[in-house]
Amino acid sequence: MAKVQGSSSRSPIMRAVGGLDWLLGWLENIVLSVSIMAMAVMNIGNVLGNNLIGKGFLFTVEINQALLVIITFIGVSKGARHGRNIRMSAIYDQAKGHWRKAMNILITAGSAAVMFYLCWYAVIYEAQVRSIGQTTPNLGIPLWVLYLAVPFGLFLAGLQYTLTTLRNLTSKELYRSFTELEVYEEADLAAVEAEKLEGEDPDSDWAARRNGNGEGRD
Amino acid sequence: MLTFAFILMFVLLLLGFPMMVPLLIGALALMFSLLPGVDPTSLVRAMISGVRPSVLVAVPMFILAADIMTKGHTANRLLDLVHAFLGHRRGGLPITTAVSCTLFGAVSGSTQATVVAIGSALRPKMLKAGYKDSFTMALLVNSSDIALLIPPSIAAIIYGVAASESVGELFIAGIGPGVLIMVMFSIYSWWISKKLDIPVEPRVNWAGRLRALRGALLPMGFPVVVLGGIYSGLFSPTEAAAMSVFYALIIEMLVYRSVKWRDLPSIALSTGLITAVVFILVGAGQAFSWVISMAQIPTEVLGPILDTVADNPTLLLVVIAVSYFVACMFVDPIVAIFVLTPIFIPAIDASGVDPILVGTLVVLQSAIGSATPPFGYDIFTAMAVFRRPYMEIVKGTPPFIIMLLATTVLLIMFPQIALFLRDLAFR
Repeated sequence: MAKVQGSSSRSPIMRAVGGLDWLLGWLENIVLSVSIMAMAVMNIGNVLGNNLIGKGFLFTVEINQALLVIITFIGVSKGARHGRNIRMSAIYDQAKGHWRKAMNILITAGSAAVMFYLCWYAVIYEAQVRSIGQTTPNLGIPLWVLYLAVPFGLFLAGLQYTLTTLRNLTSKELYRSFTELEVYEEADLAAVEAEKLEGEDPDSDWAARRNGNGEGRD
Repeated sequence: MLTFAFILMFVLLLLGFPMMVPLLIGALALMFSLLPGVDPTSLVRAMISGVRPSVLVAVPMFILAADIMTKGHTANRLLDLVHAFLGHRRGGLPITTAVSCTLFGAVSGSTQATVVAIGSALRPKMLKAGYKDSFTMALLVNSSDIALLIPPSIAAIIYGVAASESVGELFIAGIGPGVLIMVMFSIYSWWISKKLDIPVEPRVNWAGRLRALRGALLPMGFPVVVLGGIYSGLFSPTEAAAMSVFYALIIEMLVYRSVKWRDLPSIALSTGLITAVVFILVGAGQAFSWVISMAQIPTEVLGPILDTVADNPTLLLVVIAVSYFVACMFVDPIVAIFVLTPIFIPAIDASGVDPILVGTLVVLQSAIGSATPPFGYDIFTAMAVFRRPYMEIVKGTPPFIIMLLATTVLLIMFPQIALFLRDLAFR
């Protein structure tokens, strides 16, 4: 199970939520990595097939489109889980203490609200697509099945942001997601970097890299 | 209402909300006020259709190829090659940095992968040689952005989707400005090296050079696969992206054996996450641009201005460059492309300006914006990779921004910088 950083609550409810969160995170990882690998295998096979035997996979386009939707919407949740969704944090980074925590709670609660709101309309859209009965042209897969990732992903992202809000409301430390602490401290990082630079000989690093390549140097 | 929506979006953006949230809230606010009869399910539909175009498959495939190469030896071999030939000249190290970033951009297409791969290897050496860290990091951040222009370019793919333009033509048009920037950075590096009186490194003998050349032959095959495949008509950009993954797998797994089978799931997961955080912006951007198009905001707000500049192509290009540059200083280039492109398309069509020139200009502004304070995306990548404070990274940036803006001016004045190769390949 994913280890929760910091002095977080050990109550049975939080542990149960943590267990469920770990399971969801594991599923997200599987979906994302399998989708990318499947996309790569299918597209490479299609190009090789087209160019070598004049025959590719007819279903490539429709599966590509489905995978793009799945990766995008399941990945939003993964992004929320690790605080990786793209944002401008320059002002946020300047805030300290309670201000920073208040901003974090506002951001995660607001983001959760938007995700849940869109999730609701994604469910309605799913119902509309299902009622039309549209399928993919070659494989005949119902579109609503492929688009399930949309409400599911938006819901999971909303859930992640909600859990982060709750975590920050119930703990002393500042969390960037449900399980990960915000650890960025310029002073610490600068010290680590200075130590690293003093301790290392760039030439030896360079040589090590080259030796790793199986190459020597004059 | 329009003003209120834009102010609300800007405030949310500044507060640090994930960028998709201000875009979606802005789209919802405009939809409720200007399109009262429209159902919010339309936004969901627009988001889905935004991420469905097949050409977008090229983005995760190029990112996957870059992730495989970053894990493997490709970057080091390219770097060795450039260093063997240029390292002994005055400013050899920073020139090696600029040229290696361009070459790695040509094989990976990812600015972040370039910062990581080239920066991690060269920054310690440059610091040891006596270059200031602010110069070193600014050089790395800005040189990495050449990857946005040199094909395969993710920004060009996104613009191609937003403006319905040929990704292949956008790819080749980016080469000229990319090389021009590399030359400018190299000259500046030479001047800095002279000013600081940095000692010149020993010359690598011809045996060493040949060894470096032999070592880099396979990585140099990437541009051949991507560009050669596209311009010979063998591959579409999407197929070229798939082949670049295939090529990366072959050289890193079978030839160099630097990537193992067991590494693939984690590499794919990393690619999936990067793709998702980019594509949700594409989806949200598409939803926003759908609302503003439906509400005819571009025509109402910018119509009179664009009508004026449409008769003057140069002025139109200046307005486009300034708009995208300012936008990319504050938001991710993808957002800027999706929000601004529908606004400018009618004027571009009416003016008769070559749309590929406009696309190259937009991609160039994305590159500049990605490295420009306050919110250039690559500044934050550099903060994470080099673990240095924000101010230290942006301190050395101004000379590079000036050179990049000079490239913009040159591109507007001499469009052939971008169009020469395009005309050669496609006309």
